[in-house]
Amino acid sequence: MDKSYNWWIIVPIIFVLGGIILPFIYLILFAGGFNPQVLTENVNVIRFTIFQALLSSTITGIIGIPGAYIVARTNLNRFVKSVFRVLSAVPFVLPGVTMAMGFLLTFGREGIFTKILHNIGYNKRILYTFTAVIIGHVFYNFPLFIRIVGETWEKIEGSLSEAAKLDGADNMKTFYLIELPLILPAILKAFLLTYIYTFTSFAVVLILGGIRFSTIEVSIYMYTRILFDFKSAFTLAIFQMLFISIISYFLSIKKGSFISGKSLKNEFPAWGYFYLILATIMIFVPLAYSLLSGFIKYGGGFGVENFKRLFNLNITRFIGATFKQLVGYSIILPGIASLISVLLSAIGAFHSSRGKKLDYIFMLPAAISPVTIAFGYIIMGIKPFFSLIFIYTLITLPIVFGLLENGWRTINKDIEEAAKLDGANTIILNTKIRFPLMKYHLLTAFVYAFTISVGEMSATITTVEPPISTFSVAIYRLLSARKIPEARALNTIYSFIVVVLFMLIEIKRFNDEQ
Amino acid sequence: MKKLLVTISVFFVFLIAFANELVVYTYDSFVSGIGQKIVPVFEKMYGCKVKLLSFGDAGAVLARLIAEKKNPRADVIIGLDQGLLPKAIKAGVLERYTPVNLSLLKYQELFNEYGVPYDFGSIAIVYNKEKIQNPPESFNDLLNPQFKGKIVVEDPRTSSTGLSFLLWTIAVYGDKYLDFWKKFKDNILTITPGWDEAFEMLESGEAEMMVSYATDGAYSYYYYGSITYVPVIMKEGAFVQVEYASLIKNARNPELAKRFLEFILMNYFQKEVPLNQWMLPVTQTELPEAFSYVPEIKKTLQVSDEIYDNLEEILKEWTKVIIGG
Repeated sequence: MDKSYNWWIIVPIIFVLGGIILPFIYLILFAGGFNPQVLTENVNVIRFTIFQALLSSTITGIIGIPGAYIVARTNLNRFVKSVFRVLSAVPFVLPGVTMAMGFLLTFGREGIFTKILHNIGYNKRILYTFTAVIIGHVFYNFPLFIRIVGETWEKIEGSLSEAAKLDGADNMKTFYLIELPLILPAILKAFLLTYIYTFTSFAVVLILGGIRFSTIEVSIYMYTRILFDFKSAFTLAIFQMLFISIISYFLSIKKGSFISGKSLKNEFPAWGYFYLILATIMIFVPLAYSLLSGFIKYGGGFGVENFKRLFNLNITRFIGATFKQLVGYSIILPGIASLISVLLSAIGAFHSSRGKKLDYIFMLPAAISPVTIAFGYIIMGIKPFFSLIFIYTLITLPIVFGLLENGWRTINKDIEEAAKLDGANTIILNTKIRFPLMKYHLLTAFVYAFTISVGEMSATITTVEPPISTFSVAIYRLLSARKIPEARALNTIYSFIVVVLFMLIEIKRFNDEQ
Repeated sequence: MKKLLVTISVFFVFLIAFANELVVYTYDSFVSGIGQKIVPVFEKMYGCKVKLLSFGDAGAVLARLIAEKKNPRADVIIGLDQGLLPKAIKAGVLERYTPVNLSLLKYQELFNEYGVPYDFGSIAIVYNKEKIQNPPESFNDLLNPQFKGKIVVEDPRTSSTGLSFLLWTIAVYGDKYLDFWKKFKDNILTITPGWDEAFEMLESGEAEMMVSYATDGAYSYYYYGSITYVPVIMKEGAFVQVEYASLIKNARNPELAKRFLEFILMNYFQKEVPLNQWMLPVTQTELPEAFSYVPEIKKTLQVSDEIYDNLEEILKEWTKVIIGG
């Protein structure tokens, strides 16, 4: 254990706790206390939220883990794997309206999948049921399993499994005895993140679930925006935060284990084909429709008309910023926040991968609605520029932390020990050994943080003032001015930027492997 | 010496410019729409600078105003409707003001001492004319089993359009509104968090009807040259949403703010209302051609102030009926 580095851990902890608890203190002072009664009034909503999140994350895991196996441990064509990895990263950063479009065109009445089912005699509706909520949640969150579990799995030393097999263990037994214990922390991390994200889900539940379903987030929204009952809103928000941090505390198993080998690639299994088909139907078809929604014309049909409209539009008038400012701020704010997030997470994840129980602190920001925190910052009088950097940093921490903790685990302790024996100090250790080994993880984490920040809508809209604007604000403002075709076109452009960014990391990975 | 004079005069120009800045809080589409037209006119009239700031919808703007109550930054808030206005009054963020040109207001009954009305419009049921042959004409028609699973409604807990619709049913049915919803529930396909998602369902052919605005047809005609989605106002009477502009308590620049509240009743402002706000002007103003596609409001319905005071209870009851908890 590297004692000299211990005090660094204070920095991210202060950031997370200060960034969340301080605004909450202001919010409560502003609201004038708590309203505990609101918890009993919302008991059904709370119960449903807890239950649906549990079911959603379990099913996401059941579907996500085989996917992680396919990309990590089979000899599936590398190009197919790359495409799979890039596409499975995108849903996570897609705005709700775009997601809805994709689902309508896939599972809706005129949807392609509905028509196929209809032809084979199945006429029941998929949308507006609890199943649709689950499919929506799997769609958004299964990338977490592919990344976090897949990348750990890939690093399990092949000789370990080989040895087990020589001792007579079959595939299943090798999995349970050798591999599962090693990937369990990663599975739990992905599960926990999925649990938190589905717990605070809002648009998916309302749009896809139909009239019977509603989460705590919806109630929080109602108390702040419709009823202006801030006491009730913040009481619910704090309950949500405490609940999540307790779950996070118990779900994080801490083992200072290292996984830094090169796994063996198994034969691509027969069920793999079935799996790829399932993933295509549930995830890639809706995704393709979401990405292409910019080409759907007002009143139906495909074409480039929306883009023409967008480029002919005086965009400054709608978004309160010039196109240059829009691009500039969309790069600067998320860029700075992502750097801070990666830095803070790198410190935290380092200690966590070496056995410190820190997950529940880094997971905390996922349990707060960004809009509530943004409201707190307004009361504190923080300028929009800084407020947004804080918010973006906070909301990206949980996932960046998860990705980087994985990265730290892949660094072999022996290499570090050897370097230290050769007289390397911590700076050399970091710059020459650790960071180069983690380059891919750092880059992936950065791209995730960046795209999540650019895609953040609710807090950004509450906070920004001209000339600050980001892509998500621009899309929202076009929508609210009823410039729907233009909004769709802009969203498609933004989604393609996201795809390109993820492709770049995939190319880097591809080159590294060669 | 000359340099010093220039510096001093620049300093004074800045001082005057600063004192002459009007800060207006409003919702997003106001800034990109009518705001672009009327701000330059007002700035020229009073030799001042107007800063229009928006933070989402009107509810979000009011929440922010309440948050800044101790140290208000805005002078005027534009966009509170008759549902939000009482909340703002209760929160103590507004100041009374009666504009000197109030007589221009065509509908005096709309005036509130805390808010000057600047436009109004009716919500409506909008249907896809290619799919629905015999559209509903009354609330009773909406319960017809032939519309089962064809209507999208916005959630009143998250959408002002949805809330207006809920209030409309209260205006029609009074205490019995929940009986309507119990039956109507079967015909609802889904409730969406906002107007955008509902419109998307109408457009993708998922739904055949949605809760929207009476000017939708005019809008579609004006921008796309055709009308596929036709608005109808139920024959029980229209539920009209009135939008207000108000003076903020402890405003930094109250005099200029008052001039602005008078300005909104002038023709400079009112003539821009139809094609920018897609609402109806509140003074005697000529309407553009597209507005011939707006269904006529024959009778308006209102709900009492008590209903607005009891919104929390009402939303709870509504939730119980629709969601069951």
